[in-house]
Formats: sequence, structure tokens, C-alpha cells
Amino acid sequence: MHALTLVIKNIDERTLRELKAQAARRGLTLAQVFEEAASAWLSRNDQAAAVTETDADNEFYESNMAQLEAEHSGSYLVIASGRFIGAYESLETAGKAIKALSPRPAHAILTKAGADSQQVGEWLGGSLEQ
Amino acid sequence: MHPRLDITLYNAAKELWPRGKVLAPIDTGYSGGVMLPQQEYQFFMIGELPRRFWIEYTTLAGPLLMKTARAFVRTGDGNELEETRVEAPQLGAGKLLAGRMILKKRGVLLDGPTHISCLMEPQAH
Repeated sequence: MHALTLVIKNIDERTLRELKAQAARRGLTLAQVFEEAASAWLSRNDQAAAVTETDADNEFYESNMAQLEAEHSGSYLVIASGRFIGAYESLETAGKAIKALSPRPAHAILTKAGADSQQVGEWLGGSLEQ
Repeated sequence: MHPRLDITLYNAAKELWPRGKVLAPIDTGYSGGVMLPQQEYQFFMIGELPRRFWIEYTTLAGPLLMKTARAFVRTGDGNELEETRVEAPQLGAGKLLAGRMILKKRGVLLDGPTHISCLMEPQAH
């Protein structure tokens, strides 16, 4: 990775002082702190986009589930950006359809009509962790 | 120390998970496929199941709902990609684990004294 030099103007002196103190306590350089902060900020934006899309896709699915299941039983259904993308015979073709979407969604629903159902599992908590 | 299993994950569009091959801790108490930390799960959200089909786990601390997505997994140096489920808790950080959905399709030898776990290959006679 190529490291660049960044100059920041007009940063609040008190904020910078606290930042330096925190960085020193954690044994980090200021560059590492800014990188960590930038990653967290970028990730937060991705997560927010995904949550919104997740809601839209699930609302569409819930509103149209009966019709989709009846018309495409046994097919893989793809829903993205809050709309029905298509019904596909195999998981591979459904995957290709998702890959071809532009712009690329952060979230898509991929379900096999008539086959997927609510599952119950067990997680007994790290049986081999000791 | 965990026994671990070499796995390589792909999302529903068969795109390689950027972390590549990882050593996933084996958890025989977990009936699912692969559990992931929240951040890592995002890559797989293009193949997510509807919320109503997310898996609810019985745990020692009560029920736990997991976000669930279709994915593909390759184990060890094998060539075969098989469908699996990746999951992350709806609430909570999550962690990398390989569960029984992965284990039940292959032989895994756990050698406690040497802390080694091995994938067992079927041998033709």
C-alpha cells in the first residue's frame, strides 16, 4: 500500500490535543488513528445503505410473497432495490443476474420459492473453545 | 485453543470473499454453516434470505435471531464449491465459526494432544 501525506487545516486545537493523548495511550500514531476513523466512517455509510435496502427489499417481498410463490414455485427469486428482478431456474443463474445488476446493490433477497422456510437451529456456545 | 478448518467463501454471485482462505474455528455446538462478524457479513448480503426465513437459534442464553444469506464454501484445497449459509447475529458482534452444516459433509480429524485438525480425504481401494 502506498502511503500519502495529508495536511488538515482548521482542525480544532482541543480536539487534536485529545486525539493525540488518546493515540498515545493506545500506542498508535496519528496516521493510524485517522485511518481507523476513516474506515469506521466509510463502513457506517455502507451499513446505513444496506439497512435501507434491506428494509425496502423485505417490504416488497412481504407485500408480494403470495403472488410470487404462486407464480414461480421452485424458482430462485431475486429482489433488489425494492423491486422484483426475476425468477431463475438455478442458483447459478440467479447469482449471475445479481452480479449483472447496475448500479450494484448493497443488498438483495435471494430465496427459493416454496422451498425456503423459517429454520430453527441450536448454538450451544463454543463447545470446543476450552 | 480451537480446532480450525480451512475455508474459502464466495457470495451468491460466486465472488470471492476478500479475506480469501481463512482458518475458521470449528464449533460442534453450532448447527449452522458459517457464522461471521457483522462487518464481514455485509459482503454476502446480496444473497440474503427474506427476514421471515432467518434462522432462530436456541442458545444457553435464550433465542437468538441470525441474519442469513446464501453463499458457497470450499474447504481445504478442494475444488468443489458447495452451497452453504453464512450468518451473523441480528444484534451483537458475531464471530467467525464453522458449524455442523459444514462438518456433516466431510470427515474432520481432531487430534487433541497435538492441537491439529485435519480434513480426511476418502481413499479409493
